[in-house]
Amino acid sequence: MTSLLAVVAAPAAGAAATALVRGRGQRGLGLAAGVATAVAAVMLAWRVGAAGEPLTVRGTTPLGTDLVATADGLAVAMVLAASAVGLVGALFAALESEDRPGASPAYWPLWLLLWTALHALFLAGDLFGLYLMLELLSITGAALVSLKGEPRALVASARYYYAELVASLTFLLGLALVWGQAGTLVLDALPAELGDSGAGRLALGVLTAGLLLKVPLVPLHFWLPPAHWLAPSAVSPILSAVVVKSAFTVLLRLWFVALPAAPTAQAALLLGVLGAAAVVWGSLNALRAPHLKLLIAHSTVAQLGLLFLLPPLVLAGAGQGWTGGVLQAVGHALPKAALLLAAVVLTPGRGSDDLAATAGAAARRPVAVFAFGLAAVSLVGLPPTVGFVAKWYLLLASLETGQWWWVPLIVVGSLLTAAYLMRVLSRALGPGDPAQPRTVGPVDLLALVLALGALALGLWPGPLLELLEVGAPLPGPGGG
Amino acid sequence: MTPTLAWLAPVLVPLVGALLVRLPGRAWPWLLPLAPLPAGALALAGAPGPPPELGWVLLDARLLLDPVGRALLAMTALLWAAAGLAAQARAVERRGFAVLWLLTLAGNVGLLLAGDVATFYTLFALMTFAAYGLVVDDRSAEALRAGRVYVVLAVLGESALLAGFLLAVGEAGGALDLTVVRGAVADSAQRDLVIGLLLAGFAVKAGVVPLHGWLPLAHPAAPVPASAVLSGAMLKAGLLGWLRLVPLEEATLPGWSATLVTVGLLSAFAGVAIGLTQREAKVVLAYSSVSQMGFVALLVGVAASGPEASAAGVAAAVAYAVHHGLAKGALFLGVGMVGDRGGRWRRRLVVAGLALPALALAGLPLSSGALAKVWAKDALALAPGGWPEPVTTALSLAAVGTTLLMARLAWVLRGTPAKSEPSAGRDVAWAVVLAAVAGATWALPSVLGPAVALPAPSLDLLVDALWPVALGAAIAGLAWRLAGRTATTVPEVPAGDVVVAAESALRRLTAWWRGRGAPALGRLVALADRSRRRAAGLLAAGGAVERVDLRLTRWRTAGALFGLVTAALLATLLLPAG
Amino acid sequence: MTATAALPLALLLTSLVPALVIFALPEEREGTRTTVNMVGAIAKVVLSGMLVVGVLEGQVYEWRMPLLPGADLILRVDSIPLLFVSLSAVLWLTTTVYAIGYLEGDAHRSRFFGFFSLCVTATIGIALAGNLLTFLLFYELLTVATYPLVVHRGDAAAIAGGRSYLLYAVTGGAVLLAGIVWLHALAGPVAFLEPGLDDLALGQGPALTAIFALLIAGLAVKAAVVPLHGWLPQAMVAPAPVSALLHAVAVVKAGAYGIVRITYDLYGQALATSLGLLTPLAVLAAITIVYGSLRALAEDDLKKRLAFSTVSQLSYIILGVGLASVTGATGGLAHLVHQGIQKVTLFYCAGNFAKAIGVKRVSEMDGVGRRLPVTTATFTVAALGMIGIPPTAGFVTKWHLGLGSLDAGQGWVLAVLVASSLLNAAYFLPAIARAWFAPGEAPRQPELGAERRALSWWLLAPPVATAASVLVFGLLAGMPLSPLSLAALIAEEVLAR
Repeated sequence: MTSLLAVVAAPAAGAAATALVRGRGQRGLGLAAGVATAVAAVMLAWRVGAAGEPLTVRGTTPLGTDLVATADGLAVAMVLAASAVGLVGALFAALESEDRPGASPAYWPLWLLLWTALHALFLAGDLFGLYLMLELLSITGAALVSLKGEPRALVASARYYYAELVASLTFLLGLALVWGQAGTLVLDALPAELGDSGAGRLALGVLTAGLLLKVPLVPLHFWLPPAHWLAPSAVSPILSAVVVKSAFTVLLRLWFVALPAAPTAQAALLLGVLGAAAVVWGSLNALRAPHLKLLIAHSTVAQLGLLFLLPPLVLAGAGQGWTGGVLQAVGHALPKAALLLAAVVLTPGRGSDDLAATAGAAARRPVAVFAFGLAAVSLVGLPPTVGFVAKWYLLLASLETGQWWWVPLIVVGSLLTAAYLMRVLSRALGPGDPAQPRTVGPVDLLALVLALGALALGLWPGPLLELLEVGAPLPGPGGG
Repeated sequence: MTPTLAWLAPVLVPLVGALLVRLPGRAWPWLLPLAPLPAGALALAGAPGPPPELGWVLLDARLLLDPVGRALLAMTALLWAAAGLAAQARAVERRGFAVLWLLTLAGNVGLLLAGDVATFYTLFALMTFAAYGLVVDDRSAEALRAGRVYVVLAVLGESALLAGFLLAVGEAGGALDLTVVRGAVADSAQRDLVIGLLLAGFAVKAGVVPLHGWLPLAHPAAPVPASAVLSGAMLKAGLLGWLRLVPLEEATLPGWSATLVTVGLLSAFAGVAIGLTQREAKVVLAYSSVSQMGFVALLVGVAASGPEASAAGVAAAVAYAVHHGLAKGALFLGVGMVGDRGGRWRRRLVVAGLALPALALAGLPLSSGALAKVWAKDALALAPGGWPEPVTTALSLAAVGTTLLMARLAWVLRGTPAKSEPSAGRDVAWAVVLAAVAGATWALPSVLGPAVALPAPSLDLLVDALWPVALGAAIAGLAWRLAGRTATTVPEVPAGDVVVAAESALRRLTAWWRGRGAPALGRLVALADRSRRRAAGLLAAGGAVERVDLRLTRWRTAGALFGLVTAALLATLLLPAG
Repeated sequence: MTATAALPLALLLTSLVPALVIFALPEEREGTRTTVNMVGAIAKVVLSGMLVVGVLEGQVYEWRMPLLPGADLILRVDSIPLLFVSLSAVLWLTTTVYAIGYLEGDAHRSRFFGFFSLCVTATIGIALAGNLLTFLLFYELLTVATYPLVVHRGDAAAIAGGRSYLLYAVTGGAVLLAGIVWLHALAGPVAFLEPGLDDLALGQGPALTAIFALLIAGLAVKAAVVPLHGWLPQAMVAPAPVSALLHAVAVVKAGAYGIVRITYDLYGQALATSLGLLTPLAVLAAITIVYGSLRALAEDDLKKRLAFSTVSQLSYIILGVGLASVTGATGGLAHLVHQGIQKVTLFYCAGNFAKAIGVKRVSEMDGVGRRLPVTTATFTVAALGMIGIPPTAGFVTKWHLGLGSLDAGQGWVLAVLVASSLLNAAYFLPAIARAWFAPGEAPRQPELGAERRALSWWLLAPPVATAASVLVFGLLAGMPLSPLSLAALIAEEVLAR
């Protein structure tokens, strides 16, 4: 109960406090709030893991709408991912030297607000709460992207915000449909109300459409690459690692908790096919991208596609599909954030993050390159990293449900990932400017910590797998 | 010394010696003449008790010393010791020569003692490849060419042997013991394949037509002492290979018998014919070896003709080998001394010394050659069928040829300028070998047993032995006078006859490969690489991808796509449910 | 944790810990780095020795750690891993010594030795892997750990070679993964040496065949089986010690070892035969043997020639597996070791030639024997071994493969062996002849002193040691604990299953 509230309250309080204070004190407060949030998240995870069943809190808002928060495996895992990346991001912002959004007074409140929104969204158990948090996310996210005030970034953030706006409106429409039909917005109450009615399907379709644009899923990804590429170094990690998955978790709740009867195999297949397209399309773009962070952004598009193999697999009754998909969503966060942090130091010199600038980085920044390599290994999905475990269960699920065609896709996906990440590594290990000294900065270490996290999760996935069992729609490999 | 040591010393002493060559000081050159002595001792004393158990060595190595082995071992050891004495000077100039000399020696004496296939093959290979170094010792272009030819033929031979050995051992169910293997080959389904491979493989070493090509190139190229052991001792390794692995006693092989006899006669006459046209003493001697080894091959053929003749055939072949080994060794060493400075008496002494082995080869009565030829004819007489008679006559004709060849040698040698310094070592070495030529063969019956018995002296034996030599001498004398009068010259057949042809063919082949084959392969490889690169390029390329992705960012397109996706979703959700 | 469980883990840690320590060490702490390296390497040799003794006494060492539900991380030492473990341990020691001498004064040495140790850790892990998942884990780790070594020089050629290596290896790994997942979905978690597939074979024969094909294809990439060998010659840009490790122990050997393991310990001789999987394997190996030698013949660059010879030689092992006979298996397993010590010697020598006198091509080798007598002598021994001339280790291999092919009633293999020996002779003997006998500007007499001045003991001792073992393992093949004897024991035991 308390810990459940704490994970939302801590960052919210921090946001409020930092909004009032300025200067060094602000930074201190922000960091403190971040640490508190992370601690709360760990405690929550421990509680839920120990209880072995979802932790639910019900209440009513002053508006009279009822408010439900559910801490099941999915939610807690995502909260953990958000806290990890959020905390590292905050540390980075606190000590980052090159371009210091930490210096902008708006950074800390926005950052903590974003963080709050994330936690609340993962925990929210009713459509209205979900909607509000999606809104809050898009606002804070867009604001953070434009924080540097650089023109290109402003354009990108505007584009980002408009896309989110359209998506939110669509989602709102779906919400209205549900309200009109069921008279409630509480997710676990909906099955009883809507069952597998046509209205329920209609609502699901509209809601899903909005979410696909938010995630985004190819071919609706147009807004993501520029936004994530041009976002400040301190912001892009959480954007690419966690925020993009918020809409996905909402989608999972709708499909498998709120309206379990509504989804059809065809719709699931449609998502899977679009996901496959995303894997290929994003990778092809990443193979061409001339800039490091742009490359990583395109790779995000590709990695997101992989998540959408979950609906067809789970709908066909493969519990391992749920494990694999969610694990992919959670596990992708750490290495992706590590890549983006490493990217900061791999391309020295302000502004330009041209790939060519990474030449010889291995001599300059050995630790950062090592972290980048380790993260790459996890994204490619090689053992013993969390990426491998996720891929492993997705593959198993595909074969068990007889949907063997996903196997070549996943294999090709990892090959393409290896191919475009090689572009960076081969330059980094190649000849460079010998003049620059060999340095190991705090940023390098932060990136290394995240990458090692991905490794640790791959070596000891047990606890996380058990956590994901909690409140999962189907028994996974652990529960069996 | 202990039996085990006595068994192993013949191989170990030269091997260790090869390591000791690097020692400082003046003593080490004595390794060359002394290293063969343990082998000689073993040969004379006979087996000191049962062979040692060497389970750890190779694939459970076995040793063996039978009469055949003893006879050849004695000859080999003596020849190596003498030649070693003569080779000391060369060894001092280049120690590498000494190392290879001792390694070759180890292989040569060792294979005579080998009792199982693996050991035999190992030491055979050691001898073959170490001897390459003796052949190319001069480092001159000719020497290197000779070495190339030698090693190519050797490798081809070894491959044939490897296949033959494997098949034979396979037939024997993995057993390696030579006698067991012979027995298995005798009654194996693919007997002829196995025997064919083995005969051919060893024929390269034995130097019989048509695999003799390396001899006339290697002998002149190698230093004199090396030629002596090469021709005298190492060629006999081929013979021993035949005797050890071809089931001569165990089976009747009429087909192979005929083949060997034919090949033998061919070698005997071709060697003479081509040898007569040569202008260099060592080449003449090389061709004489070809012709003499023809005799040996022929006798092996006799041994293969049937059980009644096999024992006698084998014994005769070995006896002939011993005789030829000593005589040829003496000739080579002597040829090396013709050019020595010194008084005319010394010169006459050398000529006289050369005459002994030369006439012995021709088969002068009371010489080792005469004895060997008597035993050969005895064996022939035992062979079944009607062919022995003509072959016997052919042998006598070949003896005429040999006489002529020796005369040719004398002709070639006459007027050799005296430029090399005489050395006591060589003199002693030569004296020893000459003594052996005169005496050793008479001792063979005591080793090889009843098959070769000293014949009772009789007139027709004398005539039998005498007329080929006399005829040959007469013709030679005639030719000598003619050559003295008219300046008629014999057209010289290039040394290494068949090899020369093969080489030009090979050159054409390589030219073709450079011109056609290699580029073709290159194109093939390049094609593979290109397709690989194209595949990789396909990923990296695709500016189209970027352009399309850019178009997706237009609001109109984006909106249309959003509508499309929504519609598709609704359709897939609503339609199936109906 | 009991001793039987601790030993395999310790074997792994003896190189994993040094790797981490070395990564942590700053570049200039050379002495410490060398010490850590050597201590680890020596400890590993000692441990592997203990393992050999223990396993021959019938002891089975196993350590497991839960990795995924239902699929543990298993390190186990039974019969087959013995050879590979001891080979890797010993050659890691010699190669580390060599590398220390070779890279003296180079840049990025801590990176190099770190990944070097990691590479060996992966190899040991592969050797000890008790199930497919563990195998895959270390197999991929090997891919990743080797890449920085291949591109160590950092020039364009190195980067290109590294790229092709990585793309080949990752693709192979992906195919392997597909096969493993399929098998897992079909039969659940199957550990090596656990008869799990035989009952499946009734209904799922075709599926098992397809899985076998996938697994072998994935492994064949590392084992450089034609036509998947393309990366190997390009990886020649790596420094000599890396090539040595790559070609003798780590990468290619891991592929071949995997094929052995899957055929014998996963499918089992009987099942593989009944599914008719072995003969195609033998044919594939035969083609590779001949093709590799042909390509080697055409190369003048020494290291490239050696690379193609590896392509050819490695398939002897696979050929041995493909021959369904004890003798054949003995030959193949023994070659696991024999090829290793021979090839590693050749690469040490190639490195010494290049480092001491800048000789990189066969056509430049005239008179090398008189300038670097010791190196050239070891080169000669190893090359004769490759040709299969007695009494070298290579001969022992060839001999048993030949007999094995006859036992298995596959006489055609004999022709392949002979052809390959001829080709090997054709591309090794000329080099040897040049080195010793070709008149060059080189001195007339060998100059040991000059060689000692040009090459430190770090660079001379390893080739001498390995070349000596080439001779010993051939000359004393019948000795207990010789690779042949071990291989024979293992083959007996494996084919009796």
